[in-house]
Amino acid sequence: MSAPQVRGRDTYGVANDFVESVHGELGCITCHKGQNVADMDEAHKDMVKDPSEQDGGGVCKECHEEIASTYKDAMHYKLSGIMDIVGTITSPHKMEETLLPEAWALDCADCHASCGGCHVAWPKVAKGGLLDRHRFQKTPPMEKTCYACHGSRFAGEYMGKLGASADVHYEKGQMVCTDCHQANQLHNTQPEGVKRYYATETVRCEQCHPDAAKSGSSKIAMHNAHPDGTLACAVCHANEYFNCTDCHVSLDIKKPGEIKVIFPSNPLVTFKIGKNIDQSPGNPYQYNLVRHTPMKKDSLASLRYFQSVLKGAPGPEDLVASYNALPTWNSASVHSIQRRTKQNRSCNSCHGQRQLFLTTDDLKADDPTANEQVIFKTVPAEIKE
Amino acid sequence: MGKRRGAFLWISTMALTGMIAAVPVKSTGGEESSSACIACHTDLDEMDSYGAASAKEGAGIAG
Repeated sequence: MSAPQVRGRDTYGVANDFVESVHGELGCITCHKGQNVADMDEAHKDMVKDPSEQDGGGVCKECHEEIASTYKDAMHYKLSGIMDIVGTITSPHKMEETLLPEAWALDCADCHASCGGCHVAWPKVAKGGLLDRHRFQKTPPMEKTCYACHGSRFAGEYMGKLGASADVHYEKGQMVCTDCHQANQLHNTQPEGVKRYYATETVRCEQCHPDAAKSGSSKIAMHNAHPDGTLACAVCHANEYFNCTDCHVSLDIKKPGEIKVIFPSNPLVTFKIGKNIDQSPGNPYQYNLVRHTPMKKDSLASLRYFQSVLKGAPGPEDLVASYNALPTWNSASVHSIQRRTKQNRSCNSCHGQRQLFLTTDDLKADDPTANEQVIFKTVPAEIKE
Repeated sequence: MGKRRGAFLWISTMALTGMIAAVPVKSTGGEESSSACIACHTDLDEMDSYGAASAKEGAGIAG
């Protein structure tokens, strides 16, 4: 008896029922171009692999104009969060004077999501391939799409692949990413002036747990003990989580014409409460969990050398000229929520436990000065019985 | 005479077949306009043989 065949990801196969679906009836070459001939090379001439990519909608916007009209400026399409941060720390250098646009095109841009990169195929960063025989997925499957880009942080810890535990909403609630992060959030334009995601509309814990949020009148003593707006829910209800440190961006130029960006870094599983310097209506707490950003002062140093090799002249010596402008410990939306955690067992499971708080002990000599704003100078003292 | 007529018919048939194969199928929209693409890409066994080769590169997981 032979073992059942296990199919890996679909790359080119198209289901017959897709051909008969609304999208299938449009015909392959309506979207993908190419030629309707039997010869393979001829058929694929001028073919467009992802016809949804261009300008945040591609061919999709012909029918889905409303979504495409906002998606072209959405964070998932433009990756403006990354660009903002890189632009800030490399200021006053202009991007075009550096190798960053090339590095962006070679790697960073792979994370940008086209319509098809979630609804039809695996995202480009995960090497593509069809999700399910070209059948369109109204709700993208999180384990193939969200996880492909967010696997080393939120999606990985949510599904229990990283850190100390999976998230209770996943384990017991069987919830998927889109239960909280709904289409209107994922497709929407980033609010103007917003650096990260805190001002985007997303579901909040208290919408499903209204009693938990009533500080002062909650049936849970610990909730009453901490006034509204003091602690983010995750401070008490998340478990240890994954971080990256000592990241170095480098280029692999061993094969001519095949340049790849590589990121050697060191993993760090930890749990740190920090001061929240990103306060906004969506993130109003004084204290939040903080995660280490995979960045250090010389993370981009090798780009100067590669700029010499590839362009004939070295890039700026101090590429990360404004390294001190941003912290490397940043507010994090940790997705390893559990009702009971080791820090919420009792008051003194947290109070007086210096290792749970981001302090000078966690900083390194070459850290940005902005980290000083995030650390605790003194940690909450042990509570006497 | 019979042999020459046979040869003429064979050559004509092959030439016509070649012309048909080279000429794109006329677009009438949807399934017909992509009939050649569909014929290949719905042969799942054949397509999976390419898929397996591609999947050997492995999936990358970003941050």
